[in-house]
Amino acid sequence: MRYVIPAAVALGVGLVTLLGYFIQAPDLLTLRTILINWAVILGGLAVLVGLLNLIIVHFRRIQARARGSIYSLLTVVASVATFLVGAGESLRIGTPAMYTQGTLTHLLFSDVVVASQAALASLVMFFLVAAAIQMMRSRPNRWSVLFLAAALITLVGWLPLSFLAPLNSAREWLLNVAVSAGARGILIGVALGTLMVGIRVLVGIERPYKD
Amino acid sequence: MIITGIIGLLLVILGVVLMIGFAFVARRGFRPPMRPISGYEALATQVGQAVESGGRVHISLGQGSINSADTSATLAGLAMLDYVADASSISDLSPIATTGDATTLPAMSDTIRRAYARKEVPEKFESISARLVSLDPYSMAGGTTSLIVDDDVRANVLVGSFGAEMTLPAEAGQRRRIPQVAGSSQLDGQAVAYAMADHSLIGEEMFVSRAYLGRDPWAIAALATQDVLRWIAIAAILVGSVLAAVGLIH
Repeated sequence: MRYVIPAAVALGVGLVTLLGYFIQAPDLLTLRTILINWAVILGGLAVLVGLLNLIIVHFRRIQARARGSIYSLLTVVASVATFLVGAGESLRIGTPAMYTQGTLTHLLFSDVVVASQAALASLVMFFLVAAAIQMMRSRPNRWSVLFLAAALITLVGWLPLSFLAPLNSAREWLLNVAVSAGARGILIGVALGTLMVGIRVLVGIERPYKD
Repeated sequence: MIITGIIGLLLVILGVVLMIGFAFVARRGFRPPMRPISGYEALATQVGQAVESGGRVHISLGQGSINSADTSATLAGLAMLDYVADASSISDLSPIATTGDATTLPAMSDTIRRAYARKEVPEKFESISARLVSLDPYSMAGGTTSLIVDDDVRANVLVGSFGAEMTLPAEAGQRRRIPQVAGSSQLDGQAVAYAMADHSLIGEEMFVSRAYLGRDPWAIAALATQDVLRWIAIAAILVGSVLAAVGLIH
């Protein structure tokens, strides 16, 4: 029974949600919406559990005086402070403070979180080009050459210089034909893999909730 | 809309029927021809070496959740985590599993706990093996980067839903010269995995981990079914192209 009940619940919920996509029956749609809303509520509760996990992990690092524990201290202080400020402001104004202009929570997100994200995102291109060059050293084959050439054509082709017009056309062709065709092939593969994982969950073979 | 829905439903039913059929013959010893996938071949060695050297294995599932469109990528990552936790159970140090989604956290923790219970060493399970780093992709990638450096990680596995942010933890792994296996359900993540990891899992390769890392007949059946569906997709594309070329469809 320990395995049967969770499997039956998962199977039932999965089937209702799936059929709701394919069959446009109003009752089925209502039931599907209720189930999806429950999932959203559980997702919200999971965030609180996640915050607790984050604090415990970093608290133990501070206790053990692990390498870089000063950053753990900063993380704990910042997470608790952000949580308290966000919760306090949201309760005071009656709407989510994160989306309300002029609140400290909004300021924290737009001026600290978004700025940090942009800083980290800007590093990606440099790391990628370095990785493509590194790949030529560690795996010197025709695929590495092709990868590096495609990366360089795409990057240089963006430059607004008139003498680079042929490269611009090459970039257009690369993105619209070669990359697009390859991407579709990969996406079909991913879709088939996704479908099979879904079926495995539906028939109760894949059970992340096992016991 | 109705026709698309019916085709989708038929595809699901066909998949279920095929999988049950293949599972039946797989129990009698049937094994479809499986091409070697370097990522899975290397994983066992990498995890073994990391454990023997007294280090930890880090596995990240990216931003994938268990209640959205990228659930399948998360489940594929959980299958890899199950394997990694199983192999790491002989060590005193449990693997570190990281995520950027709160709903995935309990599933990850439970996967590690079950692997340790299966190996009859439940006392070795650490409740903080599974960690939520951050809910934002880039912050999560940045946090994972420092974790790889600070926690003496000796093998890095990045499998799940990653975008270009995968570059950051993969670069940290490169800098520490530790072996890396990476795969993503997103295209930009796959490009990063190909460029930066020692072994990448491209396209549907990520979803067949249970068949390659275990001997479960159902996993073998799912792999065989996936291959049949792929041939159906290829045939549909070819037929569609011919019909479009002769002007029968637009």
